[in-house]
Amino acid sequence: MRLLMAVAILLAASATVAQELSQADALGWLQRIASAARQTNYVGTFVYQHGDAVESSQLVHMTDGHGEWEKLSTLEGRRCEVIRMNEELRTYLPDLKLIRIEARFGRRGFPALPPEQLSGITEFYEVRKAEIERVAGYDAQILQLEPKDAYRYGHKFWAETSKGLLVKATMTNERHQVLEQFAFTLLEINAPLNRDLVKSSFAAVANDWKTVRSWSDETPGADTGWVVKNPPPGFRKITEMRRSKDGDSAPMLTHLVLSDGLAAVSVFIESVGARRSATAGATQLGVINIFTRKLGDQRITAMGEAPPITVMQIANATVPKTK
Amino acid sequence: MEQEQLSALMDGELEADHADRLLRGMRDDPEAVAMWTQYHFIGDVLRGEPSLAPTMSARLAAALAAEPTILAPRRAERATNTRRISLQIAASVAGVAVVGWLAFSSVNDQPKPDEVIALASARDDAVRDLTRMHLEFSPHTAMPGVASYIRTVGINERDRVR
Repeated sequence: MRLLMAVAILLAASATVAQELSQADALGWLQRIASAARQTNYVGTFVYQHGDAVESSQLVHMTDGHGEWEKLSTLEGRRCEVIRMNEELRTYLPDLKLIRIEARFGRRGFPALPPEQLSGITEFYEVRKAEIERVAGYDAQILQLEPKDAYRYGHKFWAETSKGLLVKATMTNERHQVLEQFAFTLLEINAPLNRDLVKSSFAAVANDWKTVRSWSDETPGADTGWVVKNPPPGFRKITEMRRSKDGDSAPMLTHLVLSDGLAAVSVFIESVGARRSATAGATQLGVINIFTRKLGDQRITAMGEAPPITVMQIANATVPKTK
Repeated sequence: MEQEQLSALMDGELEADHADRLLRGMRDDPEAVAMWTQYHFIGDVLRGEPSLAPTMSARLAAALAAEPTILAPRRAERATNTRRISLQIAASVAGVAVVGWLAFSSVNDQPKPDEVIALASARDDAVRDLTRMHLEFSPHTAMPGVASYIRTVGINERDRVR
């Protein structure tokens, strides 16, 4: 069997023409993609496909000397706009006449881990540079990231060749089935933009809408009293905080975030007290796998764009710190 | 041990001799056994089949305690066709899933089997709120900027249709 596997590996290696990247080159490409997303002005229409559902939305991104603005608007189905102004994120839901405000969004884009901790990325993914393809009229370099174990999904990125902007991406499971796909169909890079284009189109009518404001306390080095002991390989804690769930009056919860550099898994710890309605088990919401368990009167929920086994192990490994 | 092969084995897609070889290989590969166990446990829970009534698991656990190499089909019962091996796998799966469950619950003491139900509440506002908080930390390599929020927008829309 070992011999068979060795032969299979050799065959697989010779069949591919893609060039395997070194750690430095792989990181370089990922950082290029991340910084292009922040520094490029663009307006485009993209499709998001998950399962049978395909949705089309518009995305505008603008940056100038004063900051960064972004606007996501759905073009089909329920109307929704997500507006980011620097660190403030506002979600406009006209059907509910509701505005959600997250006060300190975007504290951490990629890389979620500092470079020295990211050094493991080629330890857990095989990163390959494949051919160049056209997407939305732009030449795009394909990067393939194959996971080396069962704890993460595979990714394929199409990065526009001049700036590195991500123009298409897929996420695949261990059987190479596409779980989700994001792709621009229409895109203008370096588009001439002004702030009117990144304002909510509901701003004028939203005066009497309900506003829900969430906040969090992410003090550096904060200790929430919870720890994930022995998480799956490559996953490290990138932050922990206490935060309000939904508006100021809601009870506080603990939020830990772990990442292997590409995938993020959140762990939420909430006090459920005597309420017996708390459920436990596994579920999915889109491509996000969720696993919940109870520990005494606490409910622990782990979720992320990672295989079920990963979120389950992280949920099970979450325990109070021993004093 | 290739996870892809395990996956195929689980779905009954392997030829009998291949499956047999794989199961034998798993005897010396605790990591593969652990993964196999978890695959099935997760599968059961995701399908909403928590058919692991405490009495049944206790009975099975007792039976399994006397049979340490539960994953390897006995030579005498060697399968001659895919259909038969599938049945053997199915039998193993039932046992392994319970063992996995017991290990799981004894280590963590929670949740109890009767609490393991597939979360019908996935579309509850509570879970959706958590998902929204999580998306803030989704790495921006998967989709640029706030585009990742389309994940929950789409879900909300599908809920409304239901």
